[in-house]
Amino acid sequence: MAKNKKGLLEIAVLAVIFLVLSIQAFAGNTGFLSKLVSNVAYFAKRYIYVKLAIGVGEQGLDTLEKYLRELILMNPKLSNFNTIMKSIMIMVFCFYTPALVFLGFYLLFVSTSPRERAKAKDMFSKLFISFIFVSLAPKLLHLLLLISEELARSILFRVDPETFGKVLHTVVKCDLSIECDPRCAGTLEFLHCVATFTEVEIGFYTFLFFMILIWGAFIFPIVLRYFIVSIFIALFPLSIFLYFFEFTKPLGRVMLEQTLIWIFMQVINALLIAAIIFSILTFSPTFMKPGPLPNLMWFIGCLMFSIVPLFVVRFFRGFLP
Amino acid sequence: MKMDGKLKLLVVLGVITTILIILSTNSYGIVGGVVAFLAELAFGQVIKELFKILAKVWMINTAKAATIDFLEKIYDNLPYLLKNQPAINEIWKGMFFFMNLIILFYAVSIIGLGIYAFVASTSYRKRAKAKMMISKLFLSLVIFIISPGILQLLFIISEILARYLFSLGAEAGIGVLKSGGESLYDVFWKFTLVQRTGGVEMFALYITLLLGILTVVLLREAMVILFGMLLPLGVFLYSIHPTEKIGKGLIIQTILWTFVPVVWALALLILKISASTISYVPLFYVHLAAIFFFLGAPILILGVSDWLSFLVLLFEILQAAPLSIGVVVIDETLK
Amino acid sequence: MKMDNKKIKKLVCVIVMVILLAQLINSLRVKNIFHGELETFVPFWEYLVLKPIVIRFFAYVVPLTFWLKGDGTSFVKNFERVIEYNPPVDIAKPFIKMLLKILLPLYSLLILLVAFYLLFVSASPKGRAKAKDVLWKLFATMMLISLSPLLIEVIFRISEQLTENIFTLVGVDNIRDLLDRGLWGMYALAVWTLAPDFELATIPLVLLYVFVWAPYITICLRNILLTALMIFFPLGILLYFIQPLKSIGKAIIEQFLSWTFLQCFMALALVAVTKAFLITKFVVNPRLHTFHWELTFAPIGAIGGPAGVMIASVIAHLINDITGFITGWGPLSDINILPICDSSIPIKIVEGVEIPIPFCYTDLSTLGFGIVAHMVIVISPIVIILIFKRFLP
Repeated sequence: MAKNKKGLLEIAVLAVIFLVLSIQAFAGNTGFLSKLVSNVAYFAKRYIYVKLAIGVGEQGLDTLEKYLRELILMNPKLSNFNTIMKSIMIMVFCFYTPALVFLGFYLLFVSTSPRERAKAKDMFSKLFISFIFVSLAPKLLHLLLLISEELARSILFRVDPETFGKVLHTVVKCDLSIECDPRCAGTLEFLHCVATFTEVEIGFYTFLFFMILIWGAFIFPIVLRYFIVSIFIALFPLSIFLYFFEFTKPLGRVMLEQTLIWIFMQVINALLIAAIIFSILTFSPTFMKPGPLPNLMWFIGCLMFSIVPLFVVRFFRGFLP
Repeated sequence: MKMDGKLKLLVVLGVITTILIILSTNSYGIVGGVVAFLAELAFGQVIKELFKILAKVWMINTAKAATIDFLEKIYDNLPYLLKNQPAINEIWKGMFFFMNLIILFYAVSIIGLGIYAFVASTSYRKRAKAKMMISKLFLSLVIFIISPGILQLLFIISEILARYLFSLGAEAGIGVLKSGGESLYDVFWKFTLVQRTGGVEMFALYITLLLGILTVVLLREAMVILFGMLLPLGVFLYSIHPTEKIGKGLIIQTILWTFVPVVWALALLILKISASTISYVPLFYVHLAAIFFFLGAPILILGVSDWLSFLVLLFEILQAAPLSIGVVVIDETLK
Repeated sequence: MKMDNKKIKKLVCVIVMVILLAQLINSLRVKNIFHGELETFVPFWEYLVLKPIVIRFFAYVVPLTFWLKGDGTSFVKNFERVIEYNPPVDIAKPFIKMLLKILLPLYSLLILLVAFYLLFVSASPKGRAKAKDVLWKLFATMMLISLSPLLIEVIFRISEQLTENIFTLVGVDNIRDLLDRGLWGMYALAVWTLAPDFELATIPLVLLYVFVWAPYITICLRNILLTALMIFFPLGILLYFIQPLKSIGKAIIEQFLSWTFLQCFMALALVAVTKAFLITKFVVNPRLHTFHWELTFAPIGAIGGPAGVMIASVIAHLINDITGFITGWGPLSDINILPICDSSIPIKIVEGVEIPIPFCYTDLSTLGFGIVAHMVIVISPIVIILIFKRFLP
C-alpha cells in the first residue's frame, strides 16, 4: 500500500512537472471559458431584465384575478364628497337669483314676440324644477349609483368573474419558473422572453401587451372611471342647473350625459365580462390558437376589457333631450 | 494490483483532463492559469459589469437631473398658475385694438340698418326685422363696451373658485401626480440598470406626459389671452344673424378657457380624496391614471374643443413604437 | 534509506513548490490588471468618455447645432414674412378670363331672355318679381366675377395689413425671441438626454424637428390651398347665386375667407403666447444649462478627487471653447444664440482657486412657452376650421 502510494506520488509529481513545462510552450489568449463567462453574464442580464419586465408588467394580476367582481362593483362613497358637493350646491343656489333676474329682464325688455315670451315663461318653470332637482342631487346620485351597482351585480351573478381572471392568467402567465421554457408557449411571458432575448427593443413591443392588457384593465375601466365618476358626483348639482337653464343647456347636457355614461360604465364593464366569458366558453381552448402564440380569442377578449370602455364613451352621445 | 491499475488509470485520466482544462484557460502554467482564470473572472467580467452599471447610473442621473427634475418643477408652479389668471391690463390692450377696429363696423351696421329700416325697405316684415336687428345691435354695443369688465369679472370668479378649491386641499392632489411620475421613473431606472436600452420607452412615456402637462397648462394661459382679446369680436359677431354661431363659439371658448383652472383644481381635489379611498387597486395604477385624469379633465367636463384631444393624440403618436425602431437602427449603425 | 527517501521527497516537494511559485509570480506579473486583454477599463472609457463626449458630441450635437443655427432657425428668422405672405393674384387671372369667355355669351343670352320675359311674357306680379330677382343676380354675378381678381387682391391686402398690425401688439422681436428660445430650449433638452444615450433623446429630437418643419408645412399647406381656392373663387361666386348650387358656392367662398384670414389668427395666436410668456411669472423657474458639467463629469470628480474635479472643469472649459469656436455660441462668440449666454458660474477647485465657467441656459417657462408658440402655428388651421364655419347667409 505504501509502495503504491509512493509510486502514485512520484507519478503525480512527474505529471505536474511535465504539465508545467509543456504548458509553458503555449502562448495564447483567453480561451472559451472566459467567452463562456461573458456569454453567461449576457444571458443572465437578459433574463433578469425579462423577470423584471414581467414583474412590472404583471403588477396587480392576482388582484384582477381574485377581486374582479369587487373592482367592477367599486363606486366612490358619496360621504367623501359631502363638503365639495355642499359648496357647489350653495354656489348653484346663489346663481338662481341672477338667473331669475336675467329671465325677468329678458321677458320684459328683450323678447318681442309672444313665442319668445312663452319661451321665457317656460324657462321660469324649468328653473323651479331644476331647483328641486338640485336640492335632491345627493339622493338622486345615490339612486343612480345604486341602480348601476345592482344591475352590474345581477349581470355578474350569472357568470363567474374568476373565469375571466383564469383566462387572463392563462393568456399572460406561465406557471413554470423559466419563462423561456418551450412548455410556456402560448403565453405572453414566453413571447416576451423570446422577443427580449432576440433584441431588447423587440421585447418592448411584447411588453406593450402587458401594458394594454393589465395596466389598461386597471387604468381605463376601473381607476379612471372611479376618478371621473367622483368628479361628476361633485359637479352633479351644477350639471342639473346648467341643463335646465336654457342658455347653458348644451354644456349642462354634455355634463349630465357624461355623468350617466361613466356611472353606467359599471354595467357595461359587467356586460363585457359576461360576453367575453360566454364567448370563450362556447369555443374549445384550441380554437384560434396558432402555434406558440396565445389563444387569440382569449387574448382579444382580455384586450376588449381595457379598450372598449373608451369607445363606448364616444358611442353614447346626445341621448338627452 | 488491479485496484492500483484502475487507480493509476484514473489518475492519468484526471491529469489529462486537468491539462485540457488548463490549456483552455491560459498558457502560463497551472497555478498561473488558475490564477489567471480567477483574475479574469474577478477582474474581468465582474469589474466590467460594475463599470457598465456605473455608466448606466450616470445615464439615469443625467436623464433625471437634466430632464425629469427640470420638467417636474411645473408641479411647484401649478398652485400659482391655477389660482391666478393672467394680468388683465395686458389683455385689455389687445381688446382695445379689436374694439377700435370693430366700433367702425358697428357704426356702419347701425347706420346701414337705419337707412334700410326707415328709407329703403318695402315690406312691413323686413322693416320689423331691421328694427329688431337695430335693437339687438344696440344691446350688443353695450355689452361690447363693457366686455373688458365682463372679462375681468370672469377672471375674478375663476380665481375665487380656484382658491376656494385649493383651500379645501387640492394641493395634495399634486402629490398624487408626482407619485405617478415617480412610479414611471422607478420602472425606468430599474430597467436601465439591467439593460441600457431597457428603460428608454418608459422614459419616453414619462417625458411625454411631463411635456404634455407643461404644454397644456401654458397653452391655457395663452388661449385665455387669445380668446379674451377676441371677446369683443365674438360679441359683435353674435349680434349679426349670419355670424351668430361664430360669435357664440368665440364667447363660449372665452368662458371655457377662463374656467379650465377651476376644473383642474377640482380634479386635484378629487385626486386627493379618491386616491386614498380607492381599494384593491395597486397604487402604481392609481398614480398613473391620475396623470391621464388631470390631462383629460377639461376635455371631459367642458368639451374644450376637439383640437385639444388632437394634441393628446399627437403626443401619443410622437412617442409611438415605430420611432424607437428608427432610433435603434441609427444608434446601431453609428456604433 | 528511509531518511534518504524523506529527504528526496522533501526536495522534490520544495522544487515543485518553487516552480509553482515562480509560475504564480510570473502570472501575476504578466496578468496586469490594466492590461487591455481584461477589458476592465473599456466600459469606463467607452460609456463615460468616448461615446458621450467624442462620438455623440461630435457626431450628433455639433452637426445638430450647425443645422439649428442655419436652416433649423430659418422659420424663426423669417416668420413674419412667411406668415404675411399671400400667393400672387396673377395666378387666378387666366382662369377668370377662361371663365368669363364661357360665361359672357351665356349671361348675355340669359339677360336678354329675362328682359324679354319681363317686358312681353310675364302676367303676374310674382313672376315679374322673380324675374327681377334673377336679373339683378345675373348682373351682380357678372360684375363680381369680372372684378374677382381685384376683390381677391383687396381681401389679401386687408388680411396682410391686419396681420402686420396684430404683430405690433407685442412686437416682432419679442415673438422671434420666444420662438428662438423654444427651439434652443428643446435643443438643450435633446443634448442632455442624448449625451448618456441617444435613444433617450427620441422625444426631444422629434419635437425639435417637428417645431422646425411643421410651421413651414402648415403655411405651405395654407398657400397651396389658397392658390386653389383663388382659382375656384369666381366659380364660387357663380354658384352662390344659383339657388340649387348655393351651398357649394358658399363653401368655396367660406373656405377662401377662412384660409385667407388664417394668417391673422396665426399672428394673434403668436401674440397671445408671447404676451402670456411676458406676463406669466413662475414661482419656481429652474434653469437647464447647456453644459452642465456636474452631471457629465461628476464621476471623474468622484473618482479622481480634487485632481479629477480640476481635470473635469478644464475639459468642460475646453469643450465649451471648442464648440464656441466651431458653432459660435460659446464664450468666444459675439452672437448669443442661446438665451442669457453671458453668465458664468465660478467653480471652486481648491481653496482660493476658482475657474469661471461660462454657461448658456434655458428655463422652464421659456421652454414651455416656446413649445406652445410653435404648437399654436400648427394647430391654428384646425381651430379656424372648427370655429369659423357656415358664416355666410
